[in-house]
Amino acid sequence: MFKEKLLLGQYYPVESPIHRLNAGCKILITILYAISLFLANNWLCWGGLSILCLAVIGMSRIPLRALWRGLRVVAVFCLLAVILNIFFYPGETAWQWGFISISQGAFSHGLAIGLRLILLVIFASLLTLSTTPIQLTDGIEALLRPLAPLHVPAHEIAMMMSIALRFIPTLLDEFERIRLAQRSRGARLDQGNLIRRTLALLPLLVPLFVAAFRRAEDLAQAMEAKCYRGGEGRTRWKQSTWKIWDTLALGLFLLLFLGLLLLRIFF
Amino acid sequence: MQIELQHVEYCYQEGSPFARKALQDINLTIRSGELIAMIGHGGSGKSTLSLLLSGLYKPSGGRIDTYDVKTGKEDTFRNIGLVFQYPEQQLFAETVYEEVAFGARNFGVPKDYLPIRVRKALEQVGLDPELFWDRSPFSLSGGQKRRVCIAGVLAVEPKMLILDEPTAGMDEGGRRWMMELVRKLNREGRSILWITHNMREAAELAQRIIVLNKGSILLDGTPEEVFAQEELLAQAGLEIPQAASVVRELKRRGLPLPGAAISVEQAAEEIADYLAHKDEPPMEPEPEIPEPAPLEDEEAEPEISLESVLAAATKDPAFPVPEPEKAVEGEPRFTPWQGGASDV
Repeated sequence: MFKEKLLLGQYYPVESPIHRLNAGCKILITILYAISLFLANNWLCWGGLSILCLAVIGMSRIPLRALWRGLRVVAVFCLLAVILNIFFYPGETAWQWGFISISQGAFSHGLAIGLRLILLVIFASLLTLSTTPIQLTDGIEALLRPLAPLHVPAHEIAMMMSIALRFIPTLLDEFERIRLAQRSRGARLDQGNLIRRTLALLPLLVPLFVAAFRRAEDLAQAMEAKCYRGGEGRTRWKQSTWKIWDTLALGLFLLLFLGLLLLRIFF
Repeated sequence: MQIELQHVEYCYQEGSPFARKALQDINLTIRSGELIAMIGHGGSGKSTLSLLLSGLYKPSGGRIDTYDVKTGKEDTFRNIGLVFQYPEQQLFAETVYEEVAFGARNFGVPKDYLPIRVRKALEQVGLDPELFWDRSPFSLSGGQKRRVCIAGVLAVEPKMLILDEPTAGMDEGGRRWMMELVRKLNREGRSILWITHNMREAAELAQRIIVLNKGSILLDGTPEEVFAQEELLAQAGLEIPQAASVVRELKRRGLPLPGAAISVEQAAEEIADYLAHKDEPPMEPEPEIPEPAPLEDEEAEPEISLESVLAAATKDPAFPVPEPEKAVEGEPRFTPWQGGASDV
């Protein structure tokens, strides 16, 4: 079922210090970590960053199984990147067989690329696994708010995102119901050539769009009836708070980032 | 055709942290030609069971056998028609004809026969084929849309019809029409499973009632058997039909009624019967009853007001419920209420 995968994004509901962190803080940390990964240029730093990543995984109490489920597809992609890098790394040829040649240092280079990609994806997954989509949009809004003088519609962007996210499960439910209904009327999606299969989607998509437009109209009316007029003066039911732990966590990653930056500049 | 369920269970999102058991240990046999009502609260598993029966879901445990008593196996999709809740939400075609013909065409009805099937199905649901043939289903009224959807299922000519709350959001006329249609289809030999949470519909329509509660079968039997289990139903948060509670309340207050009615018609008959015979002496007069207390006038003849009983039975706040008389030894069985609504 699609719904299993998309209902709450990837969110994995457990109690942990990582789950409790402010969403905006977690987004910033993820960005800092990603930049740090590509600032680092030796195995010592990469090793340190890997240990840090493992520590965060441990603290998040998310089972490795759940993490792996999200990584499977990306892992294949990373493996491909490693192999391509190993074979097409320019430099002095160290080993050759027919037209295949491997340059000196290619293995180390390829593995480093693979490691950095994997760490990046794991860290990004940790963000979505430990944060609900609604918290994420709140975090994005909080981070975009300072850009208001530049006419960045922070609230509107966040509202659009949260409405879209809110309606994914609803529309999936609707889609599933329509699919079952048409299936019980003998509709088959898995038979015939491409054109037939595409046409077979019509009985699913038309009712889905009708439902989506109906819901959009209902929602617009309900929002107007509740005097919605944008983000100004709007308060929240669930206040996202910034605690001492958020400052500490952000500080740690900021130090890491600055340290690597200095290392890169002066050595 | 016959459907047999043995220890069937169904679990949503199995294996994920959101796993939720919807049905457990369902044992059930649905025979050919039965007219069954399935009742239960929202979330009791009614809709899930209908999806399992129609073959759209596979059970997480146990087995479901759908077979013809004579020939063996049956094609489930072809022979079980499922009318979803609010079926008008699945309309997609440009014309009513295309919409109704969709299922029949998918199941391989030859092209030449399609118009015949569609015409017949539209007539069955009471829509004039000449008027509706080329209209867009989206331009119809809510009730007409639902009829078109039901026609789409009927055009396949299923042997069994499952209807998930087909009267939801319908007015009284539509409700009655729908029940009449289903009765007619049943008389033609189709098995019917009517899913509802309306006790009155179940009481008036079905030969057999299945009560679901929290994913298991609570009761399964004739309407009389099921509605006799008032306490069990109450535990599941279900009430007996209002007509039944009226006659039972009348009986409890001492009127010599059988108190067995479950539909409005039966209740009316019981009360009419009582009213017609109330002046006759009882068949076996109890010798110990003393003379009734002298009455003040002819008008205040001992009787129980129907309205107050109705009010008590239906818990309608519009009618104040008078305190029931305390039974004192030696007093007559019927004493007039002092005050209250007695101007019948």
